[in-house]
Amino acid sequence: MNSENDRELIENCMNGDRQAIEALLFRYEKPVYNAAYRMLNSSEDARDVTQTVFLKVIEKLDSYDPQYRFFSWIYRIALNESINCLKKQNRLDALDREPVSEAKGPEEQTGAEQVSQGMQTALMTIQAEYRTVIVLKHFADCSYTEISQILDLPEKKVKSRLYTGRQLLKEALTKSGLH
Amino acid sequence: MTIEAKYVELMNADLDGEISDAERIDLAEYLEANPEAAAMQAELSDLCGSLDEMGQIDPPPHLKYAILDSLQKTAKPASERVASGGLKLRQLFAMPALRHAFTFGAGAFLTFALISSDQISDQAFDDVTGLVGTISDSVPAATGQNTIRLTSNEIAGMVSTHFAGSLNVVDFNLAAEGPVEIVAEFSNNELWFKGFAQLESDDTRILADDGQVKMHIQGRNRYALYLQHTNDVDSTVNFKFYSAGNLIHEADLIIGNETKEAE
Repeated sequence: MNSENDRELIENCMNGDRQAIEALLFRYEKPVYNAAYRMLNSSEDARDVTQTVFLKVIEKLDSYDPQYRFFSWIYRIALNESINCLKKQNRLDALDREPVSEAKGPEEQTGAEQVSQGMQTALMTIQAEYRTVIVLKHFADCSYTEISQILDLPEKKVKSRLYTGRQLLKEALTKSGLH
Repeated sequence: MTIEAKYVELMNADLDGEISDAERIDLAEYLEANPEAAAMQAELSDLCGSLDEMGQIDPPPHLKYAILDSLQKTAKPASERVASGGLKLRQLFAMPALRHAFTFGAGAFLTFALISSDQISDQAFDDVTGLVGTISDSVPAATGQNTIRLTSNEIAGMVSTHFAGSLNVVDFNLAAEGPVEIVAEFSNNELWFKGFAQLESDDTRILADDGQVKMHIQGRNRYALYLQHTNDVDSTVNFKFYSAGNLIHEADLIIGNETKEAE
C-alpha cells in the first residue's frame, strides 16, 4: 500500500470528503475482509467485522497518528475486531474444538480447494495469537517489522510466534492427514 | 541430532525473505551438512507455499455498498465534519467511473431485454435520454418515505425518488450478491411506466406490465426507472425484493407530485 497516497486520502476523509471515504473503502475492503476471513473462517463473520472496522476507522480517524502507516492501523483494528468476534462466540481458544466451517463438502471440492480448506481448518485449530501472525505474514504479506508495528510486539516475539505457529500448523495438518 | 535454534530461525527467515547474504550462505552450509535440518526446511517451504497459494478471497460484491450505506447512516451532522450532508448523487457523478457510466448511460439507455405493456402509452419510449443527467440534480426527498435502504445479506444499497421535469425518477443504486428480483407495483391508475435507463450495471433485465415493473439484477447495479404521475395526489409504489423466490424485503415509496415535493 502506498503510504503517500494514503496520507492524502486520509486527510480528505477527515475533511468529510465522501469520495475519499469511498476510495479508502475500495482500497482496503479486500485486505480487511481477507484478514478477518482467515482469522474467523466464516464469510458472514468476516463481512460483519469488515463493516465494523470501516465504521470504527471513519469514526476514529481523528485519533489516527499519521506517523504510522495507515494499513498498520487498519489491520490492527481488523485483527482486534476479529478477536472480539471470536471471544463473543467463545472461539478464541480454538484448540481441541471443532472448527466452524462453511466449506463445501469434499465431494464438491477440487483438489486445490480441498488443500486450501484443509489448511484453513488447520489454521483454526491453532491459538489466535499464532494465527494472527500467520495471517499477517501469509495473507497480508507483511514484513516482520510491519507485523511488529501492527501487533505492537517486539520483532523477536513476532518471529518466535511465527515459527511456533507454523510448527503448530504443521502438526495440525499431519494430524488431519493433509501433510 | 538436534537442529540448532539459530538455524531454525534462519530457515524461517529465509522463507520469509528476511535473511542477509551472509546468513544465507551460513544456512546453506548447515543444511548441506545436516539432512534432518534440510528435511525440516523442505517441510517448512512446502507449508509456506501452501499458505501462499491459498490466495485472496473476493468480498461479497454488495459489501462495500452496505458499508457505505452504514457510514452514511452514522455520519456526523454536516456542521460537524461534512461540508455537504449525505452522499449526493452529484458527488457520485463527479467520480470518473460514474461520469463515464453517465456518458455510457446516455448511449446505452433503454438496454432492457423485455418490455411488454398495455399500460405503456405510445409515448412510453419518449426520449428521456437527457433525463439521465437529471438524476444528479436530485430534489431533496420531501419525506423519509422517499428512500428505501437495504442492508440484507442478499442485497444492499438504496432506492430513492425525485422529480425530473414532469417525471418521477426512481433511482436504484444497489449491489446484489446473487440474482435478485425486484417487483414494483403501482396498482392505481395515477402512475405510468415511462422508461428505463441503465447507468452502471452488471446485468439488469426489466419487464413492465400493467401496474407492475419487474427487474432482475445481480452484482452492482445503477439504473433509473421513469414514472409519469398523472394527478396531484401522492401515489404509493410497493417494492418487493426476492432472492431465490423468497421475499427478503418489502417497502413502499411515496411518489408525490411536483408541487408537494418542492415544499
